[in-house]
Amino acid sequence: METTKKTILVVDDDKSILRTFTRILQKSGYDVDVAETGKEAIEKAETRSYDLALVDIRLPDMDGTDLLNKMQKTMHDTVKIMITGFPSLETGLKALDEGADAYLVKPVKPDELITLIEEKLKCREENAGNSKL
Amino acid sequence: MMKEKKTRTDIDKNTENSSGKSSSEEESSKFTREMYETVIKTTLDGFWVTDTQGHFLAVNDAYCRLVGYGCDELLKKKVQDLEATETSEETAQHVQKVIQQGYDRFETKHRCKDGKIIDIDVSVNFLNYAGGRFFVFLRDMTEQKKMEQELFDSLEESKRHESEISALLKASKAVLQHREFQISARSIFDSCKELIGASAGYVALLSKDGKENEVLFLDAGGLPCTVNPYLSMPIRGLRAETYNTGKVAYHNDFLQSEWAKLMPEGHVILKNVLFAPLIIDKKTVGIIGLANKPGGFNDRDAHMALAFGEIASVALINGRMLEMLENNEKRLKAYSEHLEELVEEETKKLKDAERLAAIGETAGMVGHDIRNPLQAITSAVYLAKEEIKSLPESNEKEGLKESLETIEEQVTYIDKVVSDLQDFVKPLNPKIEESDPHKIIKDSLSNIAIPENIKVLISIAEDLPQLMVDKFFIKRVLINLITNAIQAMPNGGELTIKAHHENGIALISVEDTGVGIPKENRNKIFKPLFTTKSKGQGFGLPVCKRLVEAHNGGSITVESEVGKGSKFNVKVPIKVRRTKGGNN
Repeated sequence: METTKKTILVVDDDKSILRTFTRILQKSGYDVDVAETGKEAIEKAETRSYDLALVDIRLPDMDGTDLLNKMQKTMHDTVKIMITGFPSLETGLKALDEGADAYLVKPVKPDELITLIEEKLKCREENAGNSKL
Repeated sequence: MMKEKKTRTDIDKNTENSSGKSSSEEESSKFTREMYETVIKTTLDGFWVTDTQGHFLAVNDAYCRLVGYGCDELLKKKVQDLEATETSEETAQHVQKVIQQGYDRFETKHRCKDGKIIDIDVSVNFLNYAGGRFFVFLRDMTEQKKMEQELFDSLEESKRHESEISALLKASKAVLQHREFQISARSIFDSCKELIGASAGYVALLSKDGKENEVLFLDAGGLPCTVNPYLSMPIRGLRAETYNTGKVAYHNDFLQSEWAKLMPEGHVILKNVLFAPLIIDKKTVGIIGLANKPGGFNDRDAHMALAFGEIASVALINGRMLEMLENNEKRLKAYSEHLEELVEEETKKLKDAERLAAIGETAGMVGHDIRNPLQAITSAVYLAKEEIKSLPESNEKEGLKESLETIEEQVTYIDKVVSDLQDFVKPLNPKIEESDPHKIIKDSLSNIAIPENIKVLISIAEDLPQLMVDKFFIKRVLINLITNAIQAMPNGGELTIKAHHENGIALISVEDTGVGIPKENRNKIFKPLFTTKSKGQGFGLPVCKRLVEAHNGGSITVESEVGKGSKFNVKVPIKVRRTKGGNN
């Protein structure tokens, strides 16, 4: 069993979400970093790599899907899960199109989120062996 | 001046009897005599002198010319030989009357030599001398009488014209006054009958198949008529002539005619008959029938009847056109009302759409703003629940757990409200595919916890084909309806789900034995933002409606009775079976 903790970046402009998600994810054994804006997220991604990013679709400085687009360059291998408070078929499709691995609607049930994160990370590891993309 | 010998009369002889007068006296009386003679000779009127027996004693030339006799011939005759109106006795009486009165003035007729009768105006004076003498002036009145007659005739004629014209006018007025042919025809017929002087008749129209005479109304003129009114009147006999030629036909001795035997039993006795045509577009489409005119019909009657027929034709055309116009007007009115309704409906739809768009915009913003705190609460509750797990069991721990669960429940509820709001404005794009109705119903039920006091009955027709629906849509609708049904039966009851198909569409019903929906609310429950529940689920049914109506021919309706329960009927399309056993 790998002892190094998986890293997760949570991007959301809502501080209480950042705070609670951090605690939930930490409880589940993840190393959690947070960013309140798109700019901050990009900067953080430049200094270190993340296994997974949890991104709110609506950010104060940019659209979540734009951020996703920019992250594709620096965070190529990062699992990207989009979370939205304004669900619509169109934004969901667009997010997946921009390279998101999952699309969730707030409020996400924490245990479901944890299950999904585990699944996606496992998937990523399996794929890492193959040179598939 | 006539001074011929034959102008000498017996007057001279008779008045010359007494002589022995002086020469100047004689001269004077001669002059007087000559003067009278001249007067009598020159007057244009006839003149006689007769005795009381009527013997002519003297006649003048003017009278001779008048009656065509010679003077000598007349002097051999008596007044009675010339008198053409009075009998000899009457003449004798008349003579006595004149003798008594001394004079008279009267009209009579004299017979000429050639037998011609002439009108004479007579002025007579009686002088009681020499046994009585009548002095008579006679004036030829033939021309005057003739002129008087002509005047009388033309007066009569113009009176007749006047009554004809006023009858025609009356009939024409009826055309303008009455919309219905039945009424105008009666009025026209009455004018015609009165003018012509017939005592019975009818107006009839040709039947659609052109074989029968359909009587509009009958005036039997007070005579008994016991013919079965439903007996058909074929186009035959004299009326056939009018139908065929379009001309007036009449017969003044009908009972002796070849057609009399065609009359059905109980028919009014017909002495004479006349038929006038009603013509439209050169075709006889009906007739005015007249009968039993005292003295019989004549060509003038035929002529008038034809005119009334023409007026009746105009009335018929008018009636038909008015009827058409009225029908068109009615249709137009109905159409415009329908249009108004449509416009109203569309306006309402537009207003609803505008309202929904506004709701949508707001919902989007509000939704986003609500979902963030919801996420934080959900996460916080999760953390709290995790954390109290490590606490020792106690009443406080249980109380805390219960509170957290309540928060969780309420968050789920808020989430539902927000979801409904946002779903409502989302454009729908159903993925139509063959779906198994059994599976959809089963899946819907498995999503809901059904209380023990509610009995579930499911009846799905064996021959129900596959549905052509978005199964997630319909599942969501059924979940919503079943949830509502359960909520309507807080004290338990029966939940019945039925499915069958008719007229190429599936009908799925969800029925409860719950509280029911008051009539005034039944139309509103499908409208957004309406709810009777204090805990608003107002978007539940409107969303269901949208989901169902996103399908071709899809609809949702409700039947309900307060205190007995509600039944929601959902109609959705089914797979059209081209061959037998094509389903599954």
